Amino acid sequence: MSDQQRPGYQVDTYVRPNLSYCCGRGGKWGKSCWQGPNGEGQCGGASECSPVKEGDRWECRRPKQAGGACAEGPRPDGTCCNVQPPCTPRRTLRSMRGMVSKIAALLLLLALIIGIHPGTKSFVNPTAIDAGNLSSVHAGFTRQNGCASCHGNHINEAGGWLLAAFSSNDTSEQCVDCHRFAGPAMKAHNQDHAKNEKYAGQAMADVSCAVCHNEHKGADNKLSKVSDQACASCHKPEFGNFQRGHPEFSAKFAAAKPGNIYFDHTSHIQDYFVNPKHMKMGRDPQFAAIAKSDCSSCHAIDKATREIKLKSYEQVCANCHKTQIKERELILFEPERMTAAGSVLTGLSRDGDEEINTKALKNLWQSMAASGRSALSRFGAEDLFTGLSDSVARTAGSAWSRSKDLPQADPPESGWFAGENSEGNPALFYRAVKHDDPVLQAWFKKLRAGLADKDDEKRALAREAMNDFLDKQTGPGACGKCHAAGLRTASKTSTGQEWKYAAHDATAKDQLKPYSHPKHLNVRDAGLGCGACHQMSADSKYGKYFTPKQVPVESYESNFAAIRKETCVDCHREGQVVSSCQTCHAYHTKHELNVGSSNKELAKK
Amino acid sequence: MTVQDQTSSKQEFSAPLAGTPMAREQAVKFLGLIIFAVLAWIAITIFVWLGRRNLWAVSHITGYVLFVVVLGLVFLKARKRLLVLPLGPVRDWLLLHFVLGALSLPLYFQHTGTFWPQGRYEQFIALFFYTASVSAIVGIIFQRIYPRRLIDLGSQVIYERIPTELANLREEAEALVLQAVRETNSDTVGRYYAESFQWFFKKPRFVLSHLLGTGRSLGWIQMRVKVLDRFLNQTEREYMHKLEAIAMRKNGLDAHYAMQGALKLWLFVHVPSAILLVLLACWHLIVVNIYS
Repeated sequence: MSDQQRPGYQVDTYVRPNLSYCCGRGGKWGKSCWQGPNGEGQCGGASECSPVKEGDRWECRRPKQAGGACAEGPRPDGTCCNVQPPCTPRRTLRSMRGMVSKIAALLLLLALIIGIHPGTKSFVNPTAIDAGNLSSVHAGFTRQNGCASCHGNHINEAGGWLLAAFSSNDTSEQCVDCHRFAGPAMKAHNQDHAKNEKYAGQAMADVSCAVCHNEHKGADNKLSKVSDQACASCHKPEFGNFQRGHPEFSAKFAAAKPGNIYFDHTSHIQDYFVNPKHMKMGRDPQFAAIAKSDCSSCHAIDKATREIKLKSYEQVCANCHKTQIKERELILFEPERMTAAGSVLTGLSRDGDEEINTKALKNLWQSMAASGRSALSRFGAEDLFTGLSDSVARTAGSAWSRSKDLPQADPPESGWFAGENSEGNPALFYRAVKHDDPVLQAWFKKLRAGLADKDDEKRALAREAMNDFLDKQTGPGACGKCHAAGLRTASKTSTGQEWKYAAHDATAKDQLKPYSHPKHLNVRDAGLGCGACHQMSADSKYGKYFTPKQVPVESYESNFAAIRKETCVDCHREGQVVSSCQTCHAYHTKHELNVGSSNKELAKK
Repeated sequence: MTVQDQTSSKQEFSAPLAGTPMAREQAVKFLGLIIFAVLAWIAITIFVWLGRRNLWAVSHITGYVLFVVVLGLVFLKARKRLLVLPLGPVRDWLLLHFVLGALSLPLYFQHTGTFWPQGRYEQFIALFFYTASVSAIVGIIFQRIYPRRLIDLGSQVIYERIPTELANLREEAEALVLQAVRETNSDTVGRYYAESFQWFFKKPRFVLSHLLGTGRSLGWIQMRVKVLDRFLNQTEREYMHKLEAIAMRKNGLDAHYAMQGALKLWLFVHVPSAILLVLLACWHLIVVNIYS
């Protein structure tokens, strides 16, 4: 048989990229054998051919590309005569690539997913689920319970942990364990819009905390920072920025409501500090000269914090108003008529049956003559009569029970006295000891309690007395001159805030953040000072609201003109000072922290 | 086919050549896919824009889209293995692979919103994503440059057969040198071969030069021949020219080795990182659904 007729003689060397192994000699830049390695990676070229027995002879099967049949031919035992040491086949690039991929995948699984972490309470390696560092405000909070502080599924066993992937795992419930709001936590602006006619018929879905607040973005991440786009999802029409499209401020911004204290800037600046006739009130000419043009005469700027605070009564008001406080007496009783205070104290109407009133008062005078102050204490709290001595009470009771005149004496500058009052009438009366007088405060407290009484008659008496007490000209202590608004609107349970100065709160309705004066001082026009933003309103009817009539709060007009959007736009505009929604507006209402509750509840579980 | 009898058979090259109907068809398909990808990206961008204005879970949705795109990219590998299914030619899948890969980059940034995420396993995802992306870009550059240059070499050889071809050339060169020594009774050519050309024929040389296409190897060969030329007689000179011809063929083989190697080796980075990326993306999908 010629070479060409032999089976396999013309066969080509089959070296292809998709084979797993190739000849090891080739790896050393030697000549590869024609057979190549087998599928298991063993050398197939230790002998150059596999002889075949034809009849009684062994024939060489070396193919053409390996040189054809050799001259020596196979050995008598049928083995090839051309043998060589077997090579160590090497992997092809493709095979190596596959192996590298498998090893890398295995290492990844070991390192990230099934590598048990000794410190964790979960069966997964913390690295494998680490979504990033918590913000600095939450980092310490999770120290005790780790991921489970917010993610309840974290402490599940393996099966439950995996099954949790198919259920909703909103963490908002855990958020509100610590974060409390005035209204429903998941509703827009924590308000139940279903009750608001403005939004009737509009579906207001619950908003998960994670929609706006993205955790695991690193310690420096500002969790509270929300994009303007989020606000625009509800607030239409959408606008580009504050400068372009933001609605104009309201006509009375930012003083749509009155504060607690009546202070007419216009009359003070244009009249009291200027007109010489007011000099007799005890006005300090030097103060008046400055105060009419310099706001800091009354509004102090703290040098350290740049906060603007109102100076105290003693610093700015007392000069003119301290004499008024002592001049206006609280008249408790007069023998000839029922006073407002007496009416509230005894429950007797000033317009009631005169005979009954006279009889009741007669009995009271007799009691006072007999037991002094204690005769009055049965009507109310002791603090109404602080400073009233038994002798003063007995003097009044003794004289009036016997229908005699009170003894002649000069009344003291302050305190309780039985004698002629400033109008020349005999009375048991009180003159305020000081501004912030405790006796007058106690009387106002009693009047407020009376205003809330269930008995219509008592309520009417209290209302009538309150009007008398708050009278600007005659009210005791002249309290009503400045404090009328606060005292009228104060609740029964008020703890005294109604007496304090409080700036108009523009934040409540408009979801505005408290305005920061320190950040804004002298940034607009330093030469104008406060006037850069606060312009006096010449035609305002400021005093209209502070009258005894029940004037609706909507009719209130500030001494100052409304602040317009353009005032803010001077600086808060594109390319200058930030003007995002959150610069001025807050989403949540009355956010409070109840830190630690989540951990405690988790521990209980 | 050995390197000696190779012809510059451009028609046999598997990539469609410029100007051929197949190349035109591929170009049209590629253009169509690019347009599709651009439209898809615009649609996703609009969706994200709308989503952010309507408090939709944008990152969840872009995440799922990105996951589907990554699975689409991996399907090229599956397609190569699923030979029995009529899924269209691999070159079409490769075009789709290019386009989806390009789409995945903006999608990734739309999904994460950052270059480098905070989570440790997410950082691994980012690392493998960037590795796969950069290696893909390198691979595309290789595929745009080296196949043309390999055609210009005028010869073809299977990468796995290069060691054998190299050994054949070395044997041929050594046989020629021995013959020269016998015929000229001088060891000039033999000694010179042992001192310089033996190094050259031992294994592929000037790999970087071939990759960069600087031609430094040609200069090296010609310089070695020229230096010896004035010391040779006519017979020796003829043998030296024959040796130079063999060295030139070896140089072509080296070029094949360098460029084919580059065309294969970039996949050493691309494929494992892509596989790890898919594994971690699946894990990410599970974790995200468990914890949010």
